[in-house]
Amino acid sequence: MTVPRWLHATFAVSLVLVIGMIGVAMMQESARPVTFEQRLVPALGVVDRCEGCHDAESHPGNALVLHPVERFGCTPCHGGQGLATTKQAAHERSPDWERPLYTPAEREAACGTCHLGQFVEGAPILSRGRAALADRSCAGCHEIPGYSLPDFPPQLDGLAAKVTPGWVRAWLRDPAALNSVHRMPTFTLSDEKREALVAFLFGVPGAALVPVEPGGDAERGRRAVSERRCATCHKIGERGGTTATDLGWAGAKLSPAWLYSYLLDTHRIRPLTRMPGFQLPPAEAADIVAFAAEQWVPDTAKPVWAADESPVHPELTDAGRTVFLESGCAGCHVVTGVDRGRTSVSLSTIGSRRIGDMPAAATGPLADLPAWIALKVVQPHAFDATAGAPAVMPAFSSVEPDEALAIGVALSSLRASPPPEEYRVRPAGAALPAGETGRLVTRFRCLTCHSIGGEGGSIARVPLDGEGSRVRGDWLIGFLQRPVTIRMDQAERMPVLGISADEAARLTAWIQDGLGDPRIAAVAPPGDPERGRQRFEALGCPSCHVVAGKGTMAGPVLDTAGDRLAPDYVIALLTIGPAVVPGGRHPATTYPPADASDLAAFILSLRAPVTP
Amino acid sequence: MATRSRRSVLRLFGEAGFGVLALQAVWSTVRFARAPVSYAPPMRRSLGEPGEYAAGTAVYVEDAGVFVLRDANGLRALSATCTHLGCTVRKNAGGDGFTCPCHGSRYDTEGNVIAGPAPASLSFLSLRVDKRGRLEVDLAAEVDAKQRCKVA
Amino acid sequence: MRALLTRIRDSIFRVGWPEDDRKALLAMRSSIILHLHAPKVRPASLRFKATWALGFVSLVLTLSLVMTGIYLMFYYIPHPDAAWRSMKDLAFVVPFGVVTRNLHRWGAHAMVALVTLHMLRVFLSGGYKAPREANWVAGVGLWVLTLALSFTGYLLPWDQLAYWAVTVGSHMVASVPLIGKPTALLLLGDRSVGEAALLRFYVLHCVVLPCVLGGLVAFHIYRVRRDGGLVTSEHAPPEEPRLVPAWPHLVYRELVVTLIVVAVLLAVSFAFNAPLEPLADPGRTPNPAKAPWYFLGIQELAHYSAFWGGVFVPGAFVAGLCLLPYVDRGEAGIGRYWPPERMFACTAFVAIGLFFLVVTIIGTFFRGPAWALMWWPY
Repeated sequence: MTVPRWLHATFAVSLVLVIGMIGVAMMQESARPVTFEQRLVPALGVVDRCEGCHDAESHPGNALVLHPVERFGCTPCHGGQGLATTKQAAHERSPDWERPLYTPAEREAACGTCHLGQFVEGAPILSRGRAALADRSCAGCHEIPGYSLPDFPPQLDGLAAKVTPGWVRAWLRDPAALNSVHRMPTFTLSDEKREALVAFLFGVPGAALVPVEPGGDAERGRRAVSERRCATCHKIGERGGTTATDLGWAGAKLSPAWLYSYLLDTHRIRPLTRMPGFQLPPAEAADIVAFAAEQWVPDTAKPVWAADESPVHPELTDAGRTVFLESGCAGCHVVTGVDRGRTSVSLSTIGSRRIGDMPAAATGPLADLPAWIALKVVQPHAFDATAGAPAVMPAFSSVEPDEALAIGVALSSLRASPPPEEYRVRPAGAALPAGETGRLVTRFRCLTCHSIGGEGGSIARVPLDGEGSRVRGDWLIGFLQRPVTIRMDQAERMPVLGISADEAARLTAWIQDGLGDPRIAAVAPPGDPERGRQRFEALGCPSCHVVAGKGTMAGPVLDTAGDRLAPDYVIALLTIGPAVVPGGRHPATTYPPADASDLAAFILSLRAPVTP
Repeated sequence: MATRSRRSVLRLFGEAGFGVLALQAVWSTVRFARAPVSYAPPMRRSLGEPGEYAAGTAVYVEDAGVFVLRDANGLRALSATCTHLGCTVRKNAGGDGFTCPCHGSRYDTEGNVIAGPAPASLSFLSLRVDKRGRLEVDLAAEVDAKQRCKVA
Repeated sequence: MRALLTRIRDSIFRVGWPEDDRKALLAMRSSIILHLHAPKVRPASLRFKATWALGFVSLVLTLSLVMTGIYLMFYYIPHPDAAWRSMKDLAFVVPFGVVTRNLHRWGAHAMVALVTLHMLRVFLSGGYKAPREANWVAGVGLWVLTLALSFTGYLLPWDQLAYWAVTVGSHMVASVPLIGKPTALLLLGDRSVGEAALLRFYVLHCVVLPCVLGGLVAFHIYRVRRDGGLVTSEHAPPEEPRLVPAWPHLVYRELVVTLIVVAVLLAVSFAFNAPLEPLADPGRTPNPAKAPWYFLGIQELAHYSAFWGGVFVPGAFVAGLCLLPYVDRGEAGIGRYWPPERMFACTAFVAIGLFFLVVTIIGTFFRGPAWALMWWPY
């Protein structure tokens, strides 16, 4: 018996194949570059090989100066697969890797994993989203770290004395039809449940109202509304702010006694509100009530909700209480005798969910988790087909697409495994004064518009931190009593709150003592005002500032700057730069000390003519 | 005869083939086993602000294993690793040099070996100021003893 | 110089190249590898159809798995913080890391399939009957060991696939009445799959099970020879010699089969990459969570009843396999596939095999999220 020839042939062929395949693999391996170094950040669990291709030194902007690559690596901010060494594996989604490079929205969400607090410099979408989470009362239904149960949606005590049952019915059907500025989402309630809810709400008594004093004059009322600057917060007709409700139909909606009592002592009628505690003189309040009855009414003969008017059914009160609790109303609205509580899921780790794990939208694939959340906010039912059950969440149809995306970004920053504590940046928080001054700050609701230590509103562009070093005390005392407009490019203006001279002095003392900026100190002697005037024009300052009628109003008018601004601040702004006025829009240009002191001397010489 | 020669050709082919396979295996194994990537602490280490080091001092920085020497002309980084067997040398209590605790090698203030088994002087390492104005030493780069890092 | 080289060569290879049968026999005795073979074999057992080389290929795969496994151990760190990262290192920075892992992964899958087919082949040719009863039981043990090795290795990459497959598997173990929970605790070293389980699986996979396997393989191969070689039909063609020397006829065939196996494994490993899903996340169960494919038949049965389908049926099957040679003792038809004399036994065995194949296919391809039946492959 001999060995068959086919066996020899098979032997030869398979040996050549094995050697050949190994040989090809060897050639491929020897052609591959070896990168021995990699970026290790043990505290964040980062092993990044991005720098095999990318040069960290050439990172644009100052992001890497603030976040050195040795301490942060690359992937905590940019996402992607840091361990990968090929472009495709590092950047893209694959069955092996489900977090591709962050989209711009996800990148801002990544900022928010370390940066807590509402305002994050350089992350406008995140900051807007965090403000929107509060503004839209998301924490009324969902647990969201850093957000407590909202307390500014209207308290519903005494509703019967404020509006008619028809208005409430129409409001529950479609809030947008009655008010262009509203925060209330659209709930889908059956007619029975709605009727029960109305019955329940109309059975809750409220604070005693004061009858309207006769003699109100609509024309005087119009002037009062204008002078008090109600439009800074309220929308009136086509104009005005969107912080507070649209007053367009308030005269038809509100009972005169309620409005009158509310203007007489806002916080007595409603202790929880973002509106400052106005205490208008009775005559002025009566004028505004008269004006409202005349002007703030629908164009039509009857308001749209007139069709819904019919008596309430008190026998449904108990059923209505159940509807109130089931629908989650108690998360946002305070009603005496009803315990508040959340009815929906916690969102405290939603940022760890992958877009691939979320129910698919009927409208098509979504780019990232923020986009998913954004769609869920505006169209909660978009996911019903794949989620298996219809959404319970009401639709926030008044949320604009970019605000919805901002909410998505803010929520995406809530991760199950946040970075270690030493990486987390917490805002200082508003250290509010105690005692009488504290009561004033609360009464006038300063933080509805202004922010301190990263907390508060964003209507006033520049935070109050450091304000004590920026303006003169005597000017501030006058301003608080009678606010004048400084930033012509800003629509919102400080309301006339009726602050007395005594109260203004007290608030000014607090701002000067407690809200100073140590960077603002005497750094240069005053210079030559005449040379400063020449430099002012030569450097192009009039392209933003008006002086003596020349220039544009992109920046503050400087005609009375010498009365208003602290001398050290002017020099600091010109030498240190706009860091001393965060949120302001001064260009990031600094000037040599000689120029700065001359310019400052000129600007400080601009004072109002002394009136006898 | 023909069968016989064909058989020996085949045998030669087989032996050569397995020889090649063996060489391939050795080469591939060495490539496979060679360290591909480093999980050790990086060679470039931050030494903090230049202002932390006063003139005329030699300050030990534990994170980097170097002494930072400052004189009127600037800053230098002196490796604290003994050239004998790699122990970390200590500054003498009198400030007149360095001594290795392991085998007693002694160096003067400039890191020159003056006694003991050490075969060479301590080396100076590359020092630079990075974009954020912080000192950074490169443990992998030795420099001349005369080279100094100038800071404002 | 030349004389020195010759002396060195002669000291290693006592017999020169085996040009004739006498030298071949001498070589077979003196070489450590070759002496494992019988010096002479029956020509019938050389035929491909006699074995389809299934047992030998399994052996080649075992050796290849040991080798690639040792290579992988240079980079693998059996800790939850580092295991998955070391897989990524193999994938991205270690030269030949990808292909080494692929060879190990695909070799392991092939091994499960081939050992199973080997068992089927031995059954169909009646190879479990006297005097080979003990070797059949050893073979069943090797089959179970193969599954155990594959299962323990499955956890080591510490990705989602690994973590949840093993979580599902260990819950099956825990569902056994009385001994289930203590056994699962013994296996996992903790309440759930975690640090302790990874270390235990690593030690089992790299030390304990391979040692047991090595001993059992030695016993298995030794008994093949002691029990008279392969089962073959007595009806050999009369023109064939009764016995031929193992060199070159058997050894050369083994060499060629080895090369083919290596070539195929290399080709598959260059063409297809082993999966590595995202890092194991105990908080996030994939839907569906599936065991390794060779356990999906059992998982499918466990879907109907955790104990009866997941434990009793497989347990009874293995017990039945072990008892088989002592119960089925007829001597007719040995050495032929599916002979008329053993029609019932072979049909029944193949039916059972087909049943497992069908449930495995259903579990693998036709079970979607929440283990719902899909009418198209998932």
